[in-house]
Amino acid sequence: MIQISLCSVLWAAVSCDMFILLLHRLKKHVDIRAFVPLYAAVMVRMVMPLDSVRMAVISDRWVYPELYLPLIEKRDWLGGKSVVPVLCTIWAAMACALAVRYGIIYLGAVRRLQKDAVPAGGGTLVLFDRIAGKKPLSISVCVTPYIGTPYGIGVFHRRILLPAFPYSEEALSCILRHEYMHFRNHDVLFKQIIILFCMVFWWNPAVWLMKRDVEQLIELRCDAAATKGMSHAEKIGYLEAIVDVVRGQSVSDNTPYAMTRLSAADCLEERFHIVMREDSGNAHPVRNRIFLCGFALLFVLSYTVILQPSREPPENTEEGVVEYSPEDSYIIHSKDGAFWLYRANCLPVKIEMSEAYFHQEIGFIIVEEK
Amino acid sequence: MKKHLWKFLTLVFLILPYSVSLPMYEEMGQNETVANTQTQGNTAMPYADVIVVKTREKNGVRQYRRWNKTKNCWVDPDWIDMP
Repeated sequence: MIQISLCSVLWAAVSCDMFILLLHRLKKHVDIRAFVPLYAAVMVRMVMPLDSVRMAVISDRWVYPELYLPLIEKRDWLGGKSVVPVLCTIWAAMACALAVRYGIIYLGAVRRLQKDAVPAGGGTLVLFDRIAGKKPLSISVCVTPYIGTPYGIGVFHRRILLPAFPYSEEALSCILRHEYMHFRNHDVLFKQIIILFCMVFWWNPAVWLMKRDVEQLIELRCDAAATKGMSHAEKIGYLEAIVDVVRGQSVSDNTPYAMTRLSAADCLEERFHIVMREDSGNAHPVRNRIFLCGFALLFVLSYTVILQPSREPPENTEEGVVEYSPEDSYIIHSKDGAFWLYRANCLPVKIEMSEAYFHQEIGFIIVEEK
Repeated sequence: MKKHLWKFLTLVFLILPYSVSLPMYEEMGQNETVANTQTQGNTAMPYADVIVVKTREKNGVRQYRRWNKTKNCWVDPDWIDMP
C-alpha cells in the first residue's frame, strides 16, 4: 500500500534537490542527449512523493525533528489544527497566481509576436521543406516585423516566427534547421512542462536552477542535432548565423520561457564548443552509461528509503512507576514451566504465559532455563 | 535502437518505485519498528512511521503503550494493561 505523507513530500524535495545539483554539477561531462529524460525522471520523483511501510527509515534525532515537528504540532490559534493546511493553501494560492501570471504573459507575447505576421515567402518555404525532409511536421513559417530574433512557438499549432530581416539563404537555412529541431525534439512541450513544474513547486529553489539548466541544455542539444553530419565549413556557417541573430536581437526581447528563441540562453560559448565537437557531446560512452546506471540506481534507492524525524517519548514523572525495556530486561522460562520477568534493579516477578509471549512479540527475549 | 532504450529506461523509472520490494530493509527495521502500520479509528495508515512499544509497571500492573517516534506522539490514548 502506497500513500503520500508530509515526510514523503519533504523527502521527495530533498531527493530532487540532490538530483538537480548532481545533474548541474555533471552537465558538462555527460552526453547532453541524456539530460532531458533525466530531468523528466527528476520531475516524476517530485510529483510522486510516495510513502510506504516497505520503505527503510533513516531516522534523524537532531535536525529534522526541529524542522518537521513544529509543522505537525497542533495549534490552539488554528482551532487545534497544525500549520500544514495553512501552508498547503499558501502553496496552492501561489502556484495558481504564478500560473495565471504566466498565462497572461504567454498569451500577450503570442499576440504581440504574431501581430501583422504574414506567411513566409515561397523561397523560405522551399528551403524549409528541404530541411523538413520526407516526413515533415506540421509547422507554419511566418515573418513579422515586431521581433528581433527567430522564435518557435506553440505545442499544438506550431509556428516558426522570423523577423523581417534579409537573411542570406545559408543563414536562413541554419535558422530554420535550428527551430525545426526544437519541434522535432518536442522542446516547446518540454519547456511548457518545466515551467508548469516550476510554478507548482515554486518554493523549491532547486527547480529554478533546473529551469535554467534545461534551457541551456535544450539549446545545446538542438545545436548538436541541427549540425549533425555538417562539414566543418557548414558548422562555421551555422555559428555565424547564430552570431548574426544575436547581433540583430533587440535588448528588450523578453519572451515567455516556453518559446524557443534562437539567441536564447546565456551559453553561447558552450554552444560553439558543442557544434565544433566531432562527437556531439558523447566522447565517453562508457562514462555516460556508468552515469546513467548510477542515476537510475539513486532514483530507485530514493523510493526505498525515507528520511524521518525521531523523538523519544517524554520522561515518566508519575510516582511508583518502573519503566523497563528489552535492552535492560528479559524473561526466563523455568523448567517447571513458569515465566519470570527479570528487570534491572528489580526483583524478578512471575508472569503468565500469555504475558510472556506478548513481551516476546514486542521485542523481549525468552531464555529457556537449562 | 536508442529511442527504444530511452523508452525502456523511462518505463523502468516509472514502474520500479511501485514494485520494488527489499526484504533486507524490512529486516533492518524490525528491531525498532514493532508495528509500522498506524491505526486511526478503523482506518489503516500505511506510512513508514517508526512506532515503538514502551513498557512499564505501575502498582504491580505491567502496562504498554505505543509511541510514534516520527510524529512525536502516543499512538494509544492511554497505558494498556498487559494481556
